[in-house]
Amino acid sequence: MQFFQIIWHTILSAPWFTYYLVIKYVFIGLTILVAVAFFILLPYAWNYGKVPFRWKNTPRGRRELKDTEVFRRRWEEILKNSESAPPESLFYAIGEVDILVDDVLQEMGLPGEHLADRLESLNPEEIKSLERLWRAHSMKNNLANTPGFTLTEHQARVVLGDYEAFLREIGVVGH
Amino acid sequence: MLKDLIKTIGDVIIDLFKQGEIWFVLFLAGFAGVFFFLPTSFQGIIGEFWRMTWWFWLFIIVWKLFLSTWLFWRQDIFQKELKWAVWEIKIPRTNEKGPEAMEAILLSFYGLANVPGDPRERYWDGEITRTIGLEMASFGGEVHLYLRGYSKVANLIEANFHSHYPDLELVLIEDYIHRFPQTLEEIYAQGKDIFGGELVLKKPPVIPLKTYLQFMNDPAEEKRVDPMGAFVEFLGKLEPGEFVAIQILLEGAGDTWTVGAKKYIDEYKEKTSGRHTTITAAGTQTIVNVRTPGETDLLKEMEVNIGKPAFNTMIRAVYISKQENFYGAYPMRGILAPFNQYSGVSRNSFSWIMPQLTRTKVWYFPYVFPRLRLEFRKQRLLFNYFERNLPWETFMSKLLTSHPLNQNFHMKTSVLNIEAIASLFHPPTDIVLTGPHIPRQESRRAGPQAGIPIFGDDADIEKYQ
Repeated sequence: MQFFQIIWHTILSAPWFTYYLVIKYVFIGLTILVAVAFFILLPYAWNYGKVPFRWKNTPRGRRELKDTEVFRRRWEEILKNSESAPPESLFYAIGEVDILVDDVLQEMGLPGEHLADRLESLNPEEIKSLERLWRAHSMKNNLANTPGFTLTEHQARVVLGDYEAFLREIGVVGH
Repeated sequence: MLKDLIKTIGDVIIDLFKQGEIWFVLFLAGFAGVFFFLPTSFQGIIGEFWRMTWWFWLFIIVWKLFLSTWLFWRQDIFQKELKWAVWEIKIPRTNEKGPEAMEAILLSFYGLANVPGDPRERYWDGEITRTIGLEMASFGGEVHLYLRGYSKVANLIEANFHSHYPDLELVLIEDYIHRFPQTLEEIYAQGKDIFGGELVLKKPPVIPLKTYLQFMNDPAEEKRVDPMGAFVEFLGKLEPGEFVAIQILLEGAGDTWTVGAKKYIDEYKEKTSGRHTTITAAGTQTIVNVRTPGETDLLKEMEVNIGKPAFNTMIRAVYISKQENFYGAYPMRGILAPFNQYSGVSRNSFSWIMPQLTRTKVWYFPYVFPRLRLEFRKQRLLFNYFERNLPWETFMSKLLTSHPLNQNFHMKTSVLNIEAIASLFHPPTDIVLTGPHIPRQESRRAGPQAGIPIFGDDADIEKYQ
């Protein structure tokens, strides 16, 4: 009985208000710490998981080819000259038509420094002859840069055909 | 009425204690008790209570905000560092294995799922469950099936797959989404438009879907139907230049969902368990069960349904087509239709999540800028499809990934068990004519002949290399 009385007295005489204040200030301190940590963390977390939203999605840079007449005339000129003294004239024509294709791509407004860069931004699902164009372009590069590399007349005609397929698909040749 | 009210309050309190909120309640009671005896007005009590304890509530709020931001940050870093393997599932000329095999595979995938085990893994590594992706895509009518998993368990996934489908071939490929236009701008540049959204279950997950057991288990062979036929035919009917891609992302659901499910079943049992007595003309009494045969069946099916392991499932579909013959309702119903062959009046069914669907009208909330919001939804859809996102876990992650014009709070998964998922996605069997649509393996794989030494020392193995 006396034991309980002692406990009761201890409970009553304890400085409860002090305890309350201690707990309160510990919590306030913790809150400030966590708040500071939160504001430090926020910029780190800010950039994650964001959808790269754009307000305007109308295609930039790409232009429809308006004036294909000039290109078509250049292509016919190249084709005519290529038959003058095969196979050397064919090699020369390959170089010429590569420049022509590059000009066409530039006119379309594709970004990039060289022809290869511009081709990167085209979609193979969209332009079926893109793979053939890549092949033809690498042939032209080999022809121009690799010593001793040469093509037979037939191969050269295939390469020219690949270029033509691309020009035909985007509407420079034909019609 | 009063009795009911008291009972409800009692239930709420018991639930609170059960869920470990006891400390919260005790804290409240401890402080509130002090003021209960003070001779002040009610408003005075509230004001006093607030004045004495505001620092505690402030701490709780700030701590929750901090923790949820922290988790988001760590989890996103974890997710960014994962490497994935994508396989194309190549089907041989004949495939007699049905969805049972797919179900067995899913069961083993369920075992592969990781969960954060300790505080370090959860809060420092930010570990999240790595998903398994079952995907279908059609490129202008050519149907492909894909499987996607974490690259470090690639061997296990292949092994699990081959153990049940030894004839099928899994070919590691570059992710097929690279064949898509990558941004909305690119889609427009190609003269195309995009439609898509996410599918969820309409009713609570405890209510089962119609599964392959109802489609394909008839003893008479001519009565069997392969539900994959509907998918393959829809995907195969696309015209050149059109794409459809459907992804089913799986994340092990654990068994927390069965708690609610069991409660639902109990309530259903109680609701239908009444009996009533009728007196026949002869004067004898008969006791009739109220539960109808249909209800009995549903009860049975619900119990079977929660008995199998389940996945949190995200079903997302994308349709890309030329602008001139683009018609949004075509994919909207066309994709939903094959999914809803598994539905029924008393069963569950799928529906689009409306706020996630790329369809906005001025008539629906929030009524402003419908066109602009549509553009934003399309971008989010593409982003989520490419990243294979599941809903973010914490509040802050949803808030931080939102945009004033496009909030990220609507993404939802649905709990489907392995039987249902196996019905939704399995390599089509011989029942459906897939010849013209799916490119198939011409040769059939077979195991090596018996007796070849496959075990031995290094020296033995070197001999054969």
